[in-house]
Amino acid sequence: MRRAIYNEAESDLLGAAQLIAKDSSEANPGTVTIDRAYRHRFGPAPRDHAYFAIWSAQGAIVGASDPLPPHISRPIDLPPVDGPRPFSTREHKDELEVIIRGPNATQILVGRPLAKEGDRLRALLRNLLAAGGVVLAIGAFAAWRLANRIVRPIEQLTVAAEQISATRLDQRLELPLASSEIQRLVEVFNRMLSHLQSSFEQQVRFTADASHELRTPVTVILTQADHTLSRPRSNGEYAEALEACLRAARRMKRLVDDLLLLARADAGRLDAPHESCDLAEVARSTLEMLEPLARERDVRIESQLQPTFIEGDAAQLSQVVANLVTNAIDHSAAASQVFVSVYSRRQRAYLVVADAGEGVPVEYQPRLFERFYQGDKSRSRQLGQGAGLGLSIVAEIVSLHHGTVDLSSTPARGTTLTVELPLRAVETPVPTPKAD
Amino acid sequence: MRLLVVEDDPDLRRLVAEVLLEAEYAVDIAADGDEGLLKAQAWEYDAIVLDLMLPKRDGWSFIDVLRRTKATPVLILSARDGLSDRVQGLDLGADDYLTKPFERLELIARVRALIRRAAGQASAVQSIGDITLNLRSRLASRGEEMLDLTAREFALLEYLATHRGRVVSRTELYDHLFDETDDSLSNLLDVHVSNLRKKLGRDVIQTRRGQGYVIPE
Repeated sequence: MRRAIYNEAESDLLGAAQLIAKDSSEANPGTVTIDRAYRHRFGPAPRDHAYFAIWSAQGAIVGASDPLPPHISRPIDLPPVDGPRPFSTREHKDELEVIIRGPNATQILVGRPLAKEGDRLRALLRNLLAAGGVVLAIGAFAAWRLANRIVRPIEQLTVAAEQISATRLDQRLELPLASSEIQRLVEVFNRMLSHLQSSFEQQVRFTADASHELRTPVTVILTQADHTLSRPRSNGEYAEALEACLRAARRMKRLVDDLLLLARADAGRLDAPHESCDLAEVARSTLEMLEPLARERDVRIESQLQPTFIEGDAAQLSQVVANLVTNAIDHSAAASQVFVSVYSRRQRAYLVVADAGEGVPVEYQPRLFERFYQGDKSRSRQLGQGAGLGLSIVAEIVSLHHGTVDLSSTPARGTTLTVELPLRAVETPVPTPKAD
Repeated sequence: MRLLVVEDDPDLRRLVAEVLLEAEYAVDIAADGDEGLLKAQAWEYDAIVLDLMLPKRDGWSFIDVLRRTKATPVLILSARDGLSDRVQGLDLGADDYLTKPFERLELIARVRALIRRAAGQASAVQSIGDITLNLRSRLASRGEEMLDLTAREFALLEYLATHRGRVVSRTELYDHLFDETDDSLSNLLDVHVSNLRKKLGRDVIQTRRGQGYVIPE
């Protein structure tokens, strides 16, 4: 850059020198007169002030600008006449001087300070710096914006996430201005919150239902004892009171057992079934236990049990049979029948419990396996039945045995529950599980 | 005073009825919302003890329908203790709310207060001339002298005193003093009134021929 400016100044001076040489040759050779215009051209402003000097062949100054800078002296070497550069240059401080040969072996020197070029260079530098600064500023701003786009939403996300607690799980994150990546993150986060909220609500409802179910037997025991002790009673009255307390305590025990089983299943701490057992034998011994209940309700249990060996826990499977059959008895009219069958088909074991009761209305069916769900509360409660945990326990145990439960029900015709379990891989006769 | 207990749990239903019977109330029972509503609409109960989670018709619906025709005081007795349950029950027109498990004496006290408030009496002690009736201890006295009244006599006196100044018909008295299992003959009322007059004096209870009995203000 500097070189180009220098060259430009050089050719400028060279042109002036050649003009002077031409003028002086056309005029009177030997004596050189300088046109006023040139003097003027070389300018009055001190920092641009150009100057020239003409030396004769003898070395005397024959013409010069006025004033002439004091340092000017006659060049020692004659500049070349031909070649690519038929002149010579020299620099003195800030001044650049061009020397050419004039007519009659005169030497013509034209010089001027390079102030203008210095200005241009400085201006250039200034411009460069300014441009650089602007570019830098723009870059910084862009970087700041970009960082903001990324960091700010994350900060908002953090703040919002911190405000969400167990008691405020219904809140969702909202970031309408965020980039698509952040939006996706927000969506994933909100979906996770929804899951969390629903399982949390389920937990809360479960606890509320459990405590609600426990309150009635507790009330019976408390009030019965308080009432009976409020004045002296006959032996018969004491016996009745104790029986009522016993019934309530049994109900609590069953509820607590059920809750414990479900809690273990939730925690994944139910023992995985490993023993080989005959589902038919489990069903037979369980039905024996249920016979008194069936008689009391005037319901007959019909069973068809084929030896069917599966991998399982006999006690848990017995509970499955008991819950299903008790349910069936509860929903049967007097003098009706409950059918229980166990058989194997295509490497699967089946336990089928069918009643001829009033059936389950379609709208209740999807929720039947929910905990504490009681489609028609009147029936179960009036018969002193469970709290609505029976079928959810069946579902838990069956799924632990890698099986499925299927319900089919026709209103006024009856309900059939089918448990399907994997058959034991190799059917080997094993000692029948003890009936307890 | 005659009460209705609507509760689906058989043991609890029997128990609440027994507790209130021993507190000298006549008690009817109902096992579900529909049966309860039928009885509540057919009889003039002095108060109803109502469970919320009932078969056939829940407690909220029970109150909602009952309030269209009757102002019978209702005490909700429920295992549901959520604030929204209480608020909803009271908003629908229930008069009090007690959660299970409850204390036996608190149940009795609340029923007593409910009946007193419904009759416009703030105090558990009422005076008729020089006779004092303590509704809480269920004792009657004249001055320092305790009066020896049977439970039925006290109940009869209590009902007339609570509705003092109003002529109470024999049917109304009968409805409020005997429950549905009571097969006493209606002329038993006259026997009780006559016995009371012997113990209290002739003029405390007056007979309005063809209308009923009244304790004048």
